[in-house]
Amino acid sequence: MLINPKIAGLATVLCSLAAPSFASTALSERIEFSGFGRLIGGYLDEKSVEYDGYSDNLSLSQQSLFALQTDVTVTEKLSLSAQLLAHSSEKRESGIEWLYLSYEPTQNWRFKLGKLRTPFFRYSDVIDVGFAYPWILPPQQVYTAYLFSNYEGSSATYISSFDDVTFELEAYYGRFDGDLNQDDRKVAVEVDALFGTILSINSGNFTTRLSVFNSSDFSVNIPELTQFSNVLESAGFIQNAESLRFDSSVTVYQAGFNYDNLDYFFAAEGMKIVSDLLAVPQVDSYYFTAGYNFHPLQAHVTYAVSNSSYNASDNLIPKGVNPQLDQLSFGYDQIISGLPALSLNSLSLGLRWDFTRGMAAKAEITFLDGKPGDNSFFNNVSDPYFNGKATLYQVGLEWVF
Amino acid sequence: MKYLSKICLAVLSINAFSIYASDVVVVANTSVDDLKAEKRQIRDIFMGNDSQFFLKPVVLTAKSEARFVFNTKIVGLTESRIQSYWAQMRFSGRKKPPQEFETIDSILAFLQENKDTVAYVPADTEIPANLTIIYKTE
Repeated sequence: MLINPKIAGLATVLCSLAAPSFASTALSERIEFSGFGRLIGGYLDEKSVEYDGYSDNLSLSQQSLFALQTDVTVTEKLSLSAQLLAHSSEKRESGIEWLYLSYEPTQNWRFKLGKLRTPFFRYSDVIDVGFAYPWILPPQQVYTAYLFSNYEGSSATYISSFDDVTFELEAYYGRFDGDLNQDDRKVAVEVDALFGTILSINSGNFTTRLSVFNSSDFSVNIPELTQFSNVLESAGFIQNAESLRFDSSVTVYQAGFNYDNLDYFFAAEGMKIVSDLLAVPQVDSYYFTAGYNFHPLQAHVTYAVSNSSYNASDNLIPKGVNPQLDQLSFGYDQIISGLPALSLNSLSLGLRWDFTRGMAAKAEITFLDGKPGDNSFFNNVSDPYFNGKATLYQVGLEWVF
Repeated sequence: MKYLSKICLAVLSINAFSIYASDVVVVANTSVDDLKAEKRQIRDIFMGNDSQFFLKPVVLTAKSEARFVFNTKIVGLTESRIQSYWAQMRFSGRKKPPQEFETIDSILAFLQENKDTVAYVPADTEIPANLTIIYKTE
């Protein structure tokens, strides 16, 4: 079991900050503390691969985290919020996740300005708050890591109701500059002029959500590929050179619904990524989840699917003319065939027990079924004959205060 | 497993008993005469989706039976599902859960002191004259 000592230290500091204000007590009229945490253990029954950082050694340090949120009421309409996060995974940075000003001039309008979470999907902005959703690990086919978790910018939300239907329309605009984790490596990404809109329609216990995200200026820096692209360009293969450049547009479409009642719930969410970039695959994915409540217990079954492809140009570099061209041509083929393919079907069964206020224990088993030869969200594949099948076992404790 | 199902049965039968055993009334401190609301409007107010009444909701703690009745008859969600909902709303910066009160006396006192507030209490509670009953479960 591995727990990063640095994280443990940071968590202790955060805990001691939070201790006097447990149960979100208002310290004064103006400052409010709240927070959340997760302690998650996972084990993968497969020696030759990793999935979401889990291997055949029980690990507590992939999804465990602690966060403290401070909300300061400046005036009745203006407030300042900050969320400080200590994450156990090496792939996630600890520090300020959120820092924003919120202005609510009327009951119908909400404006935010600062460092915000990117609201790609239903749970994207609370992906670290496991208490908010039924799973331990949200379906990775949709809630995957190659989209960035926060951005700097602003958002405007308009809320209105008509009869028994409430509409919420949100638009956000901003930029992201940071690292994305892709297939065992960190990739520097710069996304300018990112723009998204979300329409949520709610009636009683039924909610539907539709959203579109676009950036026409999405650039990824992988130095060795840029070099290769320059070589291709100087050799005259402009089209192939262009396809290796990482500066283009990415669009993400999302649609989903959920229905809850006292006894059961259903939810489904699908997404489509349209991309010109080889660094961002084109992905079609969805999940469907159904659950049953026998309060304080809740059981769920979740089925998720993803398929991916790349918008790669045909190899126009001739083979058999001379050794130099052969080298370029095979090099190009190798890059294209080495791009991670993300076809994965999974079935999860989970149980949640809300044993006391603000705390829940969870257990989850996920049967992963990837295509042999594809990466299928598996990492560090050491066996080339890995058949794409593995089972992930997880237990966890989720809390909010 | 046998014990688990027995416990579940026991929990379910207690729940079933409570559902039919009691009702709640929704009372507000409002200047609008004869203010009345429909069930879905009451639900919206207490789930933070109200854009018509402009009443600030306050609630009894999860230990109270009135809250259980309210969750069951008005919201139609379990207490844990409602807790998850508020976790999502709070930590995504959308809205905060209503302030909680331990006792019926303290929640009624708060209502009387604060204009444009609303709460639910057991139907057999004696309601102060300056508060308005805007909804009653059946």
